[in-house]
Amino acid sequence: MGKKMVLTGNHSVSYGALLSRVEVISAYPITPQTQIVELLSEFVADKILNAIFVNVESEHSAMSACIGASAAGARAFTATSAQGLALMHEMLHWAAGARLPIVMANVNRAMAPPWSVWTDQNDSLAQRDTGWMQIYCESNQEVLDTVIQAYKVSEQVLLPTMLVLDAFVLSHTAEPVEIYDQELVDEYLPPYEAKYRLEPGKPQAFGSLADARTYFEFRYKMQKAMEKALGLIEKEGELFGEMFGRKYGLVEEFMMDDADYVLVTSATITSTAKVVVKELRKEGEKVGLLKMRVLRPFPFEAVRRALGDRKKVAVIDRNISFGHHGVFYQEIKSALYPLEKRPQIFGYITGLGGRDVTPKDIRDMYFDMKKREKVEEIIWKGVKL
Amino acid sequence: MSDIPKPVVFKSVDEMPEVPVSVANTLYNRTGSWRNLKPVIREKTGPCATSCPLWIDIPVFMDLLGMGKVEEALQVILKRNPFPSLTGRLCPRTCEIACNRNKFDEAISIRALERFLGDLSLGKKGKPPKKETARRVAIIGSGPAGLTAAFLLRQKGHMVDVFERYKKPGGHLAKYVPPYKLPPYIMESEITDLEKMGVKFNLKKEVGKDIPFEKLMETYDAIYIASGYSKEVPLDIPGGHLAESGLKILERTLEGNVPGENRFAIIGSGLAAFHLARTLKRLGKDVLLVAEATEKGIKVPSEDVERAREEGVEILLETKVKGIKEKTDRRILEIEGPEGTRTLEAEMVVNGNQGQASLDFLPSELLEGNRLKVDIKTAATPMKGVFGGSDPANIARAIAWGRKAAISIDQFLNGQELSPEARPPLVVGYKEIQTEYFLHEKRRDPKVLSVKERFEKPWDEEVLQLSETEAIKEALRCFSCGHCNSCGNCWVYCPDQSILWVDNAPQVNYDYCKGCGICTMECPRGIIDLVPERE
Repeated sequence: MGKKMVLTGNHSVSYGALLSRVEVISAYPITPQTQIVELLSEFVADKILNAIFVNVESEHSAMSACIGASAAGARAFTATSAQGLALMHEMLHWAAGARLPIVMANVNRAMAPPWSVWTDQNDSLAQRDTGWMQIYCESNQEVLDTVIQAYKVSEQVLLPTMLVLDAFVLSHTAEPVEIYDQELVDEYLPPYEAKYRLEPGKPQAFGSLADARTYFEFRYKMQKAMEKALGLIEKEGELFGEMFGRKYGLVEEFMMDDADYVLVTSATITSTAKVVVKELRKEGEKVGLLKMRVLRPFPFEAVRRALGDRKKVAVIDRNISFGHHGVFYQEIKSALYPLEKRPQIFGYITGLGGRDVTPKDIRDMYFDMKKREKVEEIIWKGVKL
Repeated sequence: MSDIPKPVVFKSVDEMPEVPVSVANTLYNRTGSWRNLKPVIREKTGPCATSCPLWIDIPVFMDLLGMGKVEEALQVILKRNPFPSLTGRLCPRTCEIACNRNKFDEAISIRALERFLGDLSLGKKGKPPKKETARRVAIIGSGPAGLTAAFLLRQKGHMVDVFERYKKPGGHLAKYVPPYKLPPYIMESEITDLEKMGVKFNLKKEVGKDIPFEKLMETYDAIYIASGYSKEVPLDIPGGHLAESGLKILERTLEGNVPGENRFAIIGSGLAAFHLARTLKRLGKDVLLVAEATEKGIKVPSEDVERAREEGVEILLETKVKGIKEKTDRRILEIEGPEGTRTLEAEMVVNGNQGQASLDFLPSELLEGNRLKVDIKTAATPMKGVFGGSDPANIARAIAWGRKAAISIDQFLNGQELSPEARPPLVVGYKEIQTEYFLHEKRRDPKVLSVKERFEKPWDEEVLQLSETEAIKEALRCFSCGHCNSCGNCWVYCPDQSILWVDNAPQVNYDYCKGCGICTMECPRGIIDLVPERE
């Protein structure tokens, strides 16, 4: 057994990276992420972690340094948030296209302007199509566990992973977190052996020009790797459960047996919603909850299995794709479309820029969904209309 | 070329790596065949080297000196010039006038660096030849031309006898160059080295007087006529006979036999005139130098004129002496200058004309008027085995004559046809220098004694030696025109990795070079030419 510590979400990331024995860390400070790499830099300085900490002048360079390190066969880590993530955009494509198993923590922070340091998901969702896997975490323990699992999966499929946690609600909130024995983590996550690596004396061109005769196939292979990752995330989540006592999947079903109505959530709203669902169940409501943990690769089968046979579904999005809808709503709706029998689906936009999403808000959304007859485009919750 | 991987063509996605990484290379594609122009790396030289009568490979020795390879730098000079300590003090530095760096900031202090290196060779050159040929060569005259031929011929193993009329070897350097310009120990050291090599000096032996020329013809396998220019040219003006011989007065004065007169008028603007004027002035005399030349027309290096003025020598240029009259203990000079005609008084009037060749001892078939009949390329005269030629006004040219004669004599003694050395063909001009690679930096000149110091110690060498640190720094200023110093720019900038680096030097890989010309543009020193692929 490991030991329990009271850790913020940010420090849970740091401990996850420590236990994963990352070898190169390159980062640029940004609120609310800074504490993650601050603690890691202390680990490195105190020789608790045998890694190289590369200070850089921007997030673009931070990701570039991670790319170089990973290409050379090192386990590379970085963390960022919001504008920092946006500045990395080009290199996110590079990391994924070069098939480098980098793991990054992104603390969900609303994009500016207007400036905000509080949470919503638009920063990470804007990077949805860069070829990174995305895992949204609900608790500090899940954050720590996901760092370790992310390396395990990434290094098998050669795709990078972005694990996502809410600004302040997780990043700066302390919870008891179990820190596992290093030996056990080492057993779960062996050292990274790069199949392709930059090596002096063995010159090879990495990521150079691929003309129209070959480029297409590389993209095909990326998609195949994403598809393979779906199974691996489940398999490794299962194994993680066996070894550490906490099982993880692509999605999490909560009180879903015989539920006619389902709330779909991600990240910390899930915890609040679970409380509400429990209360509603006591009141006799046939309600369940589906937590979306993995957005990329998208868990089509798990979503269809969970939602296909329900009456109504409410998707709660803490994000907005301007001109369309909440991103989770879009994705879930399109996943259900091929089903012959599918539920009515409602999309709620709420909590942007860190506005609280309270149990009452969720309760309201549940009853709103229940009484609604026809599907509307966007249902705003909590906006001062 | 069998080790070059063949191109890989993927037939299906399964054959491809998941990571976009090269699995072969493009070496099978000989892009060199696309080329219309090709870069050619060729060692050239700078204008310094070709303007030097000795063709000393100045850019090469600068490169070596800049790296602190002092001994190797010295050897580059010695390959062309056995006496860098002499030229390093006395040559008119045509190299510095030609230096490409003049157009950038200031020329390199080439002469000072040659002196710095040359002085390191003093007393170390006296090695006897490895083998003796038993051929005998007589050299008439022990000036720089004669000494050079003696050095080079002795090196080849020939027996060398030098005939010198004066009591000391060195020719005009021994007699007419003041010690503040050439300290006597330098010449003494060079002579000692020559003697150690086995060169025999026959002093106070005047050919034509003490030994007939014909005798030399009988005794020696070859003769080099390198006699000097010490025959007085009388002043062809009324009262010209009243002028004393400048060369005689200079010789006397330098021997310590200073004339008692106090006011001198020296007619002429050659080196002898300036040497005499400056020496007398340093010894406390009033000296006036009268010359017909314009400021630009003065043939001596400007530093001599400048220092003469600093020391207080009065110089009247563009002035003609119409006649000299005698008046008890005075001489009256009638002069005509820019300010009209007037008279001057002096206690002694000196004929400062340069001497003429004294060749009366030679058979007439070797002469053409008062000049020796020689082939300018081979130094051969119409008589078999007799060679000749020198230059009175320029020590570097005199040494070049000695070198030319030695090469021809050695070829003659070996029964070979005479073939003179070829001039370095390719010179890099200023336009070929990529000046953006260089920083402006002030020239380092050696320190010169102040006028006060020069009067306090009139015989001390007036130009001091550069320190090794200064010398190396100064050498590093050199553009190294035409000489590859392995800077690596071509290697760095070649976009096709077609510059190979072999033995610390670039080579073009013509299999892949597309002839873009970037190496040509980026070579700071003009070594890479872009020439048509098919000429």
